[in-house]
Amino acid sequence: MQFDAAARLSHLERVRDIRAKAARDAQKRRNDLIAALTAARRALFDAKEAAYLVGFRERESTKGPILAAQGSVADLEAALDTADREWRAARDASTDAAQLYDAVLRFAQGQGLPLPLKVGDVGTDPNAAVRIQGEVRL
Amino acid sequence: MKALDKLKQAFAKQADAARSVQETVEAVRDQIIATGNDLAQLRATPEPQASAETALDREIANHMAAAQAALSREVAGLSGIARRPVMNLDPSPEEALSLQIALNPQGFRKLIAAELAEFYKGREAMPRDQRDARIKEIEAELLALETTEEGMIRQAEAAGIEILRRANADPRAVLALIEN
Repeated sequence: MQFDAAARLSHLERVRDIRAKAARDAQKRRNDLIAALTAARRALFDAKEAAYLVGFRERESTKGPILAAQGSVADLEAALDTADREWRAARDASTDAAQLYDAVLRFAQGQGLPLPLKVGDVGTDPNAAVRIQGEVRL
Repeated sequence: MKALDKLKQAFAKQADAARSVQETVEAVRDQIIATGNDLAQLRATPEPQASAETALDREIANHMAAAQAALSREVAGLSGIARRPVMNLDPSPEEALSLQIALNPQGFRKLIAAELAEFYKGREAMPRDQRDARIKEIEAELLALETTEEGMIRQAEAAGIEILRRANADPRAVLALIEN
């Protein structure tokens, strides 16, 4: 079996990094929504509290803000459900990509296959820079 | 508006293509799982009962020989032809087991043979050489399937369709040089 180890490994490494970033972004979206939902729930609580504090005649006017806050909470809860599912999927994809990369790297090292060159590998080899240029093109 | 409709159609076609590619890869993955299960089952297939009984007989014969050697040492001590204390019965755990088996080899054989018969009840068996050859065939089949899957993923990637690789994909397939 012929291998194309260096190019494939550098591709898998890139995929791993992209997946990791996607997972981080999805987590940030989820966290932002959690914060927004907490704020919306607080606003709903405040609106309800305001309704109890006013007199009977003014109570009608407090219904609007309560309904608006309830709508906002419901919207955010639905958005959080979606974001939560997306985050879990992105996290699993990231874990899979990282596990695969580690396993494949271990295999390549064990078989003595050529690994992708890194910028730090240049050293004194005059041809290394040329090879790195080749890697970048991949 | 027409341009927008065309764009929508193009995206719909692209989505259909992506779904179709994903389904094809999933079909190959189903085969990989099924083949992997076959392989696991085959690896767990025992040799025929007769082979196990032959191995048992061989093992008993080895123990009998070891027991005989241990007893010969004692005879040498008792008869005074060896320079060692007379009747030093201090067998190693292995020798002790051999001596126990030598005392009643038929009883020991009967005991283990009954266990073997129970183990083989309703169980499929296969001669070792036949099983090893079949394992090699299935391993090759599995690698071919994994290589096909990897080839599909690479083609999809080249067409801008992202398909996740399995975390437990075979590194040989993932690193393989695959000609398009």
